[in-house]
Amino acid sequence: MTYEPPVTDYDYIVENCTCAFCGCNCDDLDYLVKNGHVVAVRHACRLGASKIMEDMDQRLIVPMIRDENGELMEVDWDTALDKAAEYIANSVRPVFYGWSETSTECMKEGVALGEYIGAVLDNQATICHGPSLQAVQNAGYPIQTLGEVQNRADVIAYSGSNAMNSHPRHMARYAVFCRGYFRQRGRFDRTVITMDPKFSDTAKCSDKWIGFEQNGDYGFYNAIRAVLRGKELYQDVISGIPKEDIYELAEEMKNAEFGVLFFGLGLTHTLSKQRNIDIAIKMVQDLNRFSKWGLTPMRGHFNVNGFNIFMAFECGFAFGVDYCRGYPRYMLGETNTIDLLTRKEPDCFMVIAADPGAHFPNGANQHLANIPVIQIDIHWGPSTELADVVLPGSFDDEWIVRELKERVMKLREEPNVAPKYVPNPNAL
Amino acid sequence: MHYANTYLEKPVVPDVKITGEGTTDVLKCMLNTGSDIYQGACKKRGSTLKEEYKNASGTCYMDPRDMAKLGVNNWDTVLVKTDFGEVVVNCAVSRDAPHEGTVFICKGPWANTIVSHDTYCCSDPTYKGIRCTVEKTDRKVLLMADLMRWVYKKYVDETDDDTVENMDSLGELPVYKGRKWEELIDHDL
Repeated sequence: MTYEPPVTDYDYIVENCTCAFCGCNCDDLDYLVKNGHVVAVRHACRLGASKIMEDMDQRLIVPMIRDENGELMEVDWDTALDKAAEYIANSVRPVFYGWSETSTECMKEGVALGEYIGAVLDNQATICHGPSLQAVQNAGYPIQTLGEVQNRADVIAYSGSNAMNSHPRHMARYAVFCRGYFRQRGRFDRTVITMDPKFSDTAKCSDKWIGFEQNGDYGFYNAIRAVLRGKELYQDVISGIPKEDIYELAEEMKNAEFGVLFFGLGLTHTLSKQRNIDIAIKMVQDLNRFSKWGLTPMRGHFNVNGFNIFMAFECGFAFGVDYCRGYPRYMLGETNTIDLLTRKEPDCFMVIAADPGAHFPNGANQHLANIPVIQIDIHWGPSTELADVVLPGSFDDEWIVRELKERVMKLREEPNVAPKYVPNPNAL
Repeated sequence: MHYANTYLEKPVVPDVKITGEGTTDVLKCMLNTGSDIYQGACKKRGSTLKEEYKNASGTCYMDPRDMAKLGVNNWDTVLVKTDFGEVVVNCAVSRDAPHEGTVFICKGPWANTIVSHDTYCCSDPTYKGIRCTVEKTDRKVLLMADLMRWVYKKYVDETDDDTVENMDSLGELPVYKGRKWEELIDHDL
């Protein structure tokens, strides 16, 4: 790693910008601007800085479609949008996946298009915190704000989450090292517990690391719940943890003045999936009999929760919403992108502000090789290697989706295109 | 003009010399995937075609004792196989060691090739806790574009894995017919 001198040659600074990387949404970034270009950024973490100081080699600049040799070829916007609209208008089971790294205005246009065409709308929650959303429906949502954590929390527990790597400023700015109104000494006033099979970077700077065994989350949380409810543990070792340690941990959690559990994908990606989160939520509810506890999922993209809230507001379901019958429908394991792709159902796939090529398992992605894929993104990524139409997006995603919607509507009105089912008001 | 730079060719790993004889040919392990900061930074910058992404994402982090059993050192190549596929990746000493019997590959196209797509009707594929085998190999780790071509074969006529694997590399820059960003954006790098 070579030494990088600080950037001192700039015209002016734009202060207090919001970071568009992770769910922390840090709002204290300073951009250094020279000749109208951002040349450096201050206060951002490594991830935020690399998102802002992007790789221009791979920036998508022009709309492209595949030619007959399978090579991407630059075309004008009209041609590319017409081609994409044609794919969507001729499909019977389109899936619009992504939305988490774009604006809520764009989602609004997306829902209008999805409702018109009868598509499935899904976002990245389907491969990350989907089980958390299901668990919230099962067990409740004892949540608090990060401001409360900063000012009040004295016990911070991370479970299945490596905040130092995936939310690098979380510990520094919101949870652990920061000073708060009731926690004037910052880190010294707080106890940090990390529960993770991996001795992660977060575990390395915690006071206590509980390395339960792989897939042992469910048993481990149940054991803590049993202790909290005054039961005795009969086994000596539970999920790889000696029972004395579990008693000690339960006691420590009970004695917290204000405790917070942050949980990540370590819980949602293992075998018990949403049942892990169910039990974690119930543990927090049990802890509230002794002290004040809350929990927060560590969400990935800056607007991933935005999409879930927006969809829940618009149509009643947070993700995996199927409009194929004309009204919103949601069924776990049926209307979610991975299940649809594994069953080879979709015949058109639109990726917007997401990268299934990089993050979907092979078994699901194989189907993308059989169907037309439309990509709206800012960078040339693994999904571009599977895309038939590439539309370079940015803050004008909203315009692209609105244009697509208008073109699809026009195509559907022509008689030679597959007709949309329209209920006849006189039929009754 | 001086731009701030976050490029890093390879993740920083413990500089440990492995002195095992390599008595095991095929090592049975548990595979975990997830993100780390090197993979995240590279992906978010958009440098997915580059050598950097290959090293950040296509690397199997192992316990040094497991590496001694296989007789491999930092940045040698290994073949990882599961029920769902196989892929060639680099191997390196894990920063989170010891975790004997468990290997970690950052999420990305390389890990996708071998993770389970089973959602058990819960929408979320099983990315963690998959049984795998690791063995030493002479095959090279493919760059992202070559890997996508090798796995999905969407725009090649060949269906044979070995033929596609040995085709000319697509390189570290986007391959398309059209104007490049230098021609479109006024800049003074």
